[in-house]
Amino acid sequence: MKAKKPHWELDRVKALAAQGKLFLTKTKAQRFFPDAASAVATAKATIADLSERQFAETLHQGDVCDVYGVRIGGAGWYLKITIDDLRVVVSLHPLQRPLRTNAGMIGGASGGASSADKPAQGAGGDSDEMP
Amino acid sequence: MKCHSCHQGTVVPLAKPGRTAPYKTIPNLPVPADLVIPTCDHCGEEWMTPEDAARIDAAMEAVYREELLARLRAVLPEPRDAGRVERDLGLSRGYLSRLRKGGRPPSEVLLAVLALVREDQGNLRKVERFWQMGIPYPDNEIGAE
Repeated sequence: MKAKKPHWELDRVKALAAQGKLFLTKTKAQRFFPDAASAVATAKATIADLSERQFAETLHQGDVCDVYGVRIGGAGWYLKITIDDLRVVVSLHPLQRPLRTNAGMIGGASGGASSADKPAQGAGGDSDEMP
Repeated sequence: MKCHSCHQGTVVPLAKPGRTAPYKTIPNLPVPADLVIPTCDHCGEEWMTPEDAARIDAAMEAVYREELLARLRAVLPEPRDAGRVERDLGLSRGYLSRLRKGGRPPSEVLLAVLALVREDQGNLRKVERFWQMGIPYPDNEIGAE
């Protein structure tokens, strides 16, 4: 199957993030990080390491957002990014459902193991609760 | 900037009393009334840039340290019990007394253990039983009376 392509050019996203041009949801981040700086640092590091293999889908929900499934500390996380006003707008939280990426399925918060026979929730899987 | 959460509001600088937020170990730490946080004027979602994050953490850390000190005062053992607690937790003699007088909060781990001991002296006996046991020990052995 042909790999899906993100809407936002990854090099541009990485360059903006590396310059600190990030805008994060504090309300959501504070549920999963001990403080604000940890959330920002994790988002920055995660974007720096991002590849198109982790891309899952593009959502159109007021913005055009690219969704990636990434591993942080061994668990699957949901990363949604868009670009606005020359800043990368980021939402980052643990996956609640498995997500299908170009590299395959990535598991939800229970941890786990990725599996191709789990139901794919890619399209809109977490979109109802994400900015 | 528009709000990317509700797509209806605008994110504006906002400082107001009555807010709380999770910070480190405390799920509902009071947010200083004068702390400006970018907030959506429609849905209330809070946002931050890296610069905002540093500023927010600095303000929250000051509140957090005061909160830890207040909790420390609430859970320190009575002076007559301090020596036993220090011995069981591997603290130097007089450490708890110095904590009582000093203005620096202890680690969250120590504070949590002191809280458990303060709540129930039986927890200190469990700690003592843990140190007395050999390894390996049964899972249910520590709590056995």
